[in-house]
Amino acid sequence: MDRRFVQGIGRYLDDITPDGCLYVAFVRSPYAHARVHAVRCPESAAAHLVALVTGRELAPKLHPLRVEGPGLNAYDWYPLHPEKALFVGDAVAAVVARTRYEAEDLVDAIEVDYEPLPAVTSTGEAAEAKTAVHGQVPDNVLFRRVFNAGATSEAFSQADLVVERTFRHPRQTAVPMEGRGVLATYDAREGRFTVWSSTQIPHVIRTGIAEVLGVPEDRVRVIRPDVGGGFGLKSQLLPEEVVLPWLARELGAPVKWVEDRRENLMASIHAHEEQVGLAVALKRDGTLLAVRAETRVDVGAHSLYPISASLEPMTTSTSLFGAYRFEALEFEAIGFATNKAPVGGYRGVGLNAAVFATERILDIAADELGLDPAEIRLRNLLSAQEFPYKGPAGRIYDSGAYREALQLALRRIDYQRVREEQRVERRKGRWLGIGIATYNEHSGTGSRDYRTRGITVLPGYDGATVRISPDGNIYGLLSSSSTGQGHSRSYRSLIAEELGVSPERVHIIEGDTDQCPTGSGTFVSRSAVTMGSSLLLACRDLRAKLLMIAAHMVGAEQQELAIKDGAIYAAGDPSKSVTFQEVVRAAYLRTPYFTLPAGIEPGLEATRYYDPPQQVFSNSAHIALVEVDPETCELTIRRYVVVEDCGRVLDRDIVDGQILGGVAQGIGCALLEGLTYDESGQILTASLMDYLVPTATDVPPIELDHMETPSTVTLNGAKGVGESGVIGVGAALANAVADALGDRGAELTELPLTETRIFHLLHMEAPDGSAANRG
Amino acid sequence: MDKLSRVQVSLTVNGQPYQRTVEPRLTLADFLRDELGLTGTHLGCEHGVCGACTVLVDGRAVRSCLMFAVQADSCTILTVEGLTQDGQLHPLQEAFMRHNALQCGFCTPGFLMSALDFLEDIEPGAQLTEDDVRVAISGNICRCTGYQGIVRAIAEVANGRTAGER
Repeated sequence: MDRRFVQGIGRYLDDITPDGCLYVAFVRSPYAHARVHAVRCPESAAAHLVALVTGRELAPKLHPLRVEGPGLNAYDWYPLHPEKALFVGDAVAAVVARTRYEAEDLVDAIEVDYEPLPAVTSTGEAAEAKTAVHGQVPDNVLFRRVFNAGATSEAFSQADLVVERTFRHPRQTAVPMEGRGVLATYDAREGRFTVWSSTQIPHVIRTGIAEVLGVPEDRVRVIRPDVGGGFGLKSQLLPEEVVLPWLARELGAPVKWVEDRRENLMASIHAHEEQVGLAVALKRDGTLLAVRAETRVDVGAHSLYPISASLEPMTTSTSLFGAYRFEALEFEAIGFATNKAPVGGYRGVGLNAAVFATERILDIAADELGLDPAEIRLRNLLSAQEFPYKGPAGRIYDSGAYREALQLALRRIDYQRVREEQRVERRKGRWLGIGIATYNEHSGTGSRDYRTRGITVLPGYDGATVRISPDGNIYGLLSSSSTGQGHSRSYRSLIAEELGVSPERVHIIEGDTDQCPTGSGTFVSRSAVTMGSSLLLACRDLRAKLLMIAAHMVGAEQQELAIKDGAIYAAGDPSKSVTFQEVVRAAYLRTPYFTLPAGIEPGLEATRYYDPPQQVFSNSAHIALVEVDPETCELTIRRYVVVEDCGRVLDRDIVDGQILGGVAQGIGCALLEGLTYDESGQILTASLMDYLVPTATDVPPIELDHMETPSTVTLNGAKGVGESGVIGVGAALANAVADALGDRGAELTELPLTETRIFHLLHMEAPDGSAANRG
Repeated sequence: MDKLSRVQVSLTVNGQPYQRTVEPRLTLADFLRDELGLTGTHLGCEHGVCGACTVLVDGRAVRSCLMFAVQADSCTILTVEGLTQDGQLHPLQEAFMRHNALQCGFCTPGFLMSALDFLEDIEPGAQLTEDDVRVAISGNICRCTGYQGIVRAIAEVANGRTAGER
């Protein structure tokens, strides 16, 4: 795959253009909230218009989706709203033309009568409920959950110290290098749709598309081409994924839509905008007693299929203080509807805000108790012998060595020495800061955990078909849907090792719902866990059958046989051997001297599914050494240490790639990335000159160490790692900056850590109104 | 809507001469992708920030999303597809694969072409640091790799070249 990409012969969505392909563009609302009246194509543009369809015309022809579950307030979702525009960039009509340029001309020319309505642009306004984003959800509460376990009130009243802060995490978006795109065709003779989409969840969107179009699921084939990055942005059903196949059938022609970067920033998927009101109760020695949290998530205009508006409220609330020992947890989590783009996945999801809030408040508490930040963590982090550990939110952490991970990170950065360096440099006027973040994260969520969270339309399992064809080539057909992580290399190695063949003979097929078994797709860092495990199960079935056939062929017992390098032989008597190819031939055809005995069916194919009985938990420790320039407020990262434990490492290069790429994205989330809207709901950051992502000069060299504490739950001991690198960076850098700013750092409760924010922290007026103290 | 009159352009791409009649507003990127079917040049932003669309025009790195095809009349263009000669990968391409410098591959052609231009400008025998390379590629965005592998791949090729080598 790498070879194709360096040669520029990958096949991404926009590289596929069937003959006669028409182009679709969307007319998008300039208002955050408006009723849509007439939509007209003026005479002057009519010659270029192949078709125009509005939400009002389309709705009666479709079945709405309702994303339902405990705590969710459902409403009818249509791909194009029948009456209103719900955010700036919301699609109100689709135009079709012969070329993309003409389609975009038409978008400019189309006239729309909008009746602007008051816009809900914050969770505060949503809670006031003077305006409802959705008529069917009058209080704008798309999701609400309340939880209380373990005598929290008692713990708070008995605490030596209670610390309370409200933390704000900015709205962000994943910015994959390739935006979204959909190509659809309809075969009228077969009555079947084929939908190519740059997606992470082909089977799940097939279900959604079929449901909205009102056709049986097998009438829809979803194919995922090469995908230029997903990061969660491509793990939701998109309106365009429904509108395009509908248009293809109406027009009897292939239709393609590819978003541009402005649409991607404005109208695709947003994430991370949360307010976490956190209170923590501790003993004088820093022992954690209880946690109380109020989490408010700005979910934007929709509760998306399949993951729903519960995504961030729940991942944040259940991840607070995840790596630490405590029993009393109380939380209220609310996902509000607002007139902003809808919220879905972006690497880390609610964990980023949870870890930011947790780690910041721990540092604040440490400071108030006169404890070193490392010390307070070492006191409370779970240690290897405490696993399996049942967290207060009810999640069971399978295995881990969290305390040990921090100890390794502290050794790596030479903690005492950098503290000394900090003191020495401070006397010279240089402001160094050290920040720590330690956390765990769930991965590989299965059906049981999704149902507990109330999410009913995600399978939670993944499936693999492994087929050995008569010529001895091996095919792995998988329900997962990589978007560039390089998983296929791991899968090929896995199959090659299990079946004793060379990886060159193994071919991986993903992302085609006609060929691949049903499953969840690729998100929540699940591939090593669910895909790896189902693949292992299927390979073991095949291996057993190969050995069974070989046993008959060589006259040995099955358990005496070994498979290696294309041969199957009796370990004790290597003269009793047969080649892999001979066994395959025997399975499919008679050989001159061997026929399959009765009771063994021909063929070599196995399909297995793996549904993790519980989530598995990886963990990390990040330590950042930064310097803040007190004059310019510029932040420089001097060193960045990461200790990562994702259980058994299946492929070191892939794991390293995920961590290094993740930390880079984390630096963006911590220092640069923030989507902003003004008070009328107009988005102000709809280009890459406004929404900044890290370039090579923004990312320092990362010092990375691995630990391997295998999962006791998965078949292969692996845990997820895809999101690990991102999650702790905001927390580690915020703690480092706060540490550098001294007294002025205590009020650092918000990201990103821009020069402006650092300036304000430094120059805030002291509470008595006296001139700002430079600390 | 005005009927836009079309203009003839003649240019050489990856050593092949082409003559086409195009709208003046057709970008060089769209010309390469749609007219010539060379889809290795990717569009990441269409406003000149991300560098995914970088090609060489008369030997210089250019954001092809910010250039019109008609502006490339009589020019010599090199795209990522032109890096492989007679089935042999360019040393940069091989180095990228060796150093884990790509994951999804979408930004890769742009990095390769930017790196190629950068390599042309290096003093023969100069030994570059990783920081030098980071600055050189700071005009290209990658979301997957975190840049470390890309930097190492380019540094290896840059520092391994003898004077005058392409």
